[in-house]
Amino acid sequence: MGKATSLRGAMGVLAALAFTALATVSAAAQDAAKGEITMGSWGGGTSAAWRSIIKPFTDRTGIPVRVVEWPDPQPVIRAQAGNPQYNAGVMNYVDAYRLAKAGMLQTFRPEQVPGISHIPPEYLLKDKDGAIIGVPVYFQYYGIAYNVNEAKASDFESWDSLADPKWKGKLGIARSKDSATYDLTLYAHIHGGSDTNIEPGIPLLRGLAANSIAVTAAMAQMNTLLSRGEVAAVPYYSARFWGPQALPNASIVLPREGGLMLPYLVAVPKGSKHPAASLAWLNYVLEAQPQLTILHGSGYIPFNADAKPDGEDLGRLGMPVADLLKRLYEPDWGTVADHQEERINLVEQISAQVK
Amino acid sequence: MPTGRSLYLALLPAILLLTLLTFGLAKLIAVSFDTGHGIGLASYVGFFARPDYVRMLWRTLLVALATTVICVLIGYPTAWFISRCQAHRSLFLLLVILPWLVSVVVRTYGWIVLLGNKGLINNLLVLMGATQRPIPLMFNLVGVIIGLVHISLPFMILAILAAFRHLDGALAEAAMSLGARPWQSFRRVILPLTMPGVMSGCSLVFLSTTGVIVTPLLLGGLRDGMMGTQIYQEMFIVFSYPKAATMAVLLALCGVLVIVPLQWLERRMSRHSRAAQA
Amino acid sequence: MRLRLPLWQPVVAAVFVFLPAPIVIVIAASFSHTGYLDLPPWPLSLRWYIALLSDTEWLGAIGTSLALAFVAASASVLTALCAAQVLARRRFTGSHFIGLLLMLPLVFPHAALAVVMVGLLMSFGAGGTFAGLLLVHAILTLPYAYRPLIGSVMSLDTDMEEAAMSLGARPFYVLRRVSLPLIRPGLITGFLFAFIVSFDEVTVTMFLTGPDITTLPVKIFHAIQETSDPVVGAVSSLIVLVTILAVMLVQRVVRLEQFAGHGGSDTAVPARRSHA
Repeated sequence: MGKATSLRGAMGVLAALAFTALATVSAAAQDAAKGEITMGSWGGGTSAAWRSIIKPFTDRTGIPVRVVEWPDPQPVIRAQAGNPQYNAGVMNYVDAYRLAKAGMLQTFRPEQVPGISHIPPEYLLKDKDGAIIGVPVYFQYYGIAYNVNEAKASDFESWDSLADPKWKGKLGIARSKDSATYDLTLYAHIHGGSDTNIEPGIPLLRGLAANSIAVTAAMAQMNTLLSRGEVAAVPYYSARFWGPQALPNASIVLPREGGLMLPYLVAVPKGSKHPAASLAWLNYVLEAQPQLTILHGSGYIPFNADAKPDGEDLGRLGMPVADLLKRLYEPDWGTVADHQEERINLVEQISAQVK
Repeated sequence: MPTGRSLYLALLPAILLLTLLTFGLAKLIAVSFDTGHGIGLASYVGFFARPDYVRMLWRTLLVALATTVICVLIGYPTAWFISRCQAHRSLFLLLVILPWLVSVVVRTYGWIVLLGNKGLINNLLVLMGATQRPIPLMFNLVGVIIGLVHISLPFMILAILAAFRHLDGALAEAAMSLGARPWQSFRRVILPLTMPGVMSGCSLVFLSTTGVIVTPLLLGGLRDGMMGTQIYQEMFIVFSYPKAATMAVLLALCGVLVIVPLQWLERRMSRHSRAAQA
Repeated sequence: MRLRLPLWQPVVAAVFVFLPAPIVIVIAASFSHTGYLDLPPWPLSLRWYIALLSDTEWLGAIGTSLALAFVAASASVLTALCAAQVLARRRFTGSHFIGLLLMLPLVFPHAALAVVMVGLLMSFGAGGTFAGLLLVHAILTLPYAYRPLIGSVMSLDTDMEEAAMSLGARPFYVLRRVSLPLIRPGLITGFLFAFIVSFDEVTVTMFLTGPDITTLPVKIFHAIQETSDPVVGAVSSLIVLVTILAVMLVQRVVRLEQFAGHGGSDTAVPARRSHA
């Protein structure tokens, strides 16, 4: 009988645990109904950046903000079309453009987001009718990251070095979606192509693929590989090399051809709850102070013209923002977005072909 | 017990769940045949027009096959050992069952620690002077297959063990005492009688391996994509539900094509083995 | 009969090192001070367990997973029990088919099943909700609940029920006093099995979580991919602990060897009395 009793006891404990958990979950769900911002973001440094600016906003407006990590904005927002569970999300211009084209993002008139006047107009992303798709917040750049024990900055004076056979089995490459969107665009530009004609960029991408051992399918994994020198170099994101959170044993270099500018905006899925709260949030993230906070903590460079990096941050940037911008190529993201799907298919076939 | 017709009411919850499952399946198949303006094979034609996709399909089947074969080769002696083991049998069983029940992500995480170029195994090998350069165990098919064998091996061992439980131990002894040498008694008596278990293990391992995502995603490299990782990519990165649906149907179809003959063989063999034991 | 071939012993020994290896490593790494994948883990530290206990997001995921596994396993066991009562006693047109369908989630490639479930939940707008996950997990765990139950119900002596009925006992009384105690081992095994499978499931579930709900394995998966949060080791060890507890519970009710019968796919034929 003792066996049965202790068994019943154990099952009871299990049940109690489960129901306490259930109660907590449903209580949390009720909180969400009061009106809060659930913002989607990539994980790691990006979500940390956004969490760092929540408090002043909530203190001012009383609206709680929750940053939830999503794998990627496009699939999440598409999967939730008509019944979005996010009130906002940070995404790159290609994601935003494609989602807006599919009618899945809220668009805005300038008077709804007055803070937009602080953003240089050339960085506004607009749909065909001229309505604003989300608010631009910051950018970083795409350069070549390398492990300091396995390579030197001088190894990568040109992007073409990535195709050098001496790196066989030592490089990393972005996942097909990002190589189709970033690498191919940049490589085509360097080799005399354009956003519509990416043919000239293909040989370099093929060379890089042939040298690659690992894919940046996931940031954390590539961070580890790069820090440990299992990958000697990889086309990568500048914000990974900022301040105390910088990847150990690694650095990033801008080859002489320059790098790719990677701008980001905050958009609102169409039909999401609490539109007024979302609007307040958009206006807040346009302000100079939160953008500077994000720069300081995470290395994303502000779009707000009044957000002037000073002291420590300017030193880390290494040059004034205007000089940096001169070395970065910004494609027409709409064109890149229109061709994204076919180019992903192309890149997949290129990676599969190389030996 | 309720009797008569009212007994059938008890089937209702199951029927409800199964109807939903069938509905999802039907929707999947419908989407894969939807060309946007009618019914057609466009998405399948599109799939087979891509040599890299076709190669990926083959790779998926080959990886599943390799995993299945390795599982049989190392699972069979293990199952035999457990079935003959007198002392500590439940301890050995526990060693099989526990890893089986621990979440795949947790186990894969462990393999990442072990298999990396600077992981535990390579560090040990270098330390012992067995090798100067680390042996690549991860970001290639070696890593994927190690991870998959780890996931599937308990399935295989348990399936074969079930067959050994049906096997009358005295039969093998009798064969031996009648003058059969160990190898002959194994080949003529034990192997045929446990074959149904092997077959059933094979079907299960093969099928579950064709549908994996986490292992090839975390342990595989650039050129080691499988159907599961491609489905993941279609759903999570580009959200092309129709494309994912087409791949899912193909994956399920391949499974059926391989399994139906295996099941038929298994049933034949178990009939034989029962006849032999009777 | 003894194992004569000398090659086999090293193979078997290697298998018993191989199977627990990654799990032992995860647990060891969780006590390391850096929390990263470096080994040996000296100096030992509990800091990641402490960090875990103060992280509401991880605790929330643990809570969700426990609740989901409990409710899904209950639903699945009840459904399977009812179905087994019928399928073990009656043969009718379609009974074989229902038996097959009940086992389908076990043999259908999970990547494909994930796409099926996404489509299903999207039709109801139930993606990223507890109800949606519950539905999917109830379906996914059906085979695990059904197999031990159909075995128990079949080996149940229907004569005993009939005897009780003929003595005037009412059906519900017969169920509670005669049938249930007899199928209890099957019931508990089925429940715990379904619980573990639901608690650990990631391949299908990762397609269905949302901002308001995520399960522990899915959160671990994303953490491995995106953040390499060192808490992962501690959380993973926790999963191992829950699994060990559940297996210990099963072991109290049935001999572990019963499990051997559950691995096979020789399952599609429930309307056949087992030989054991």
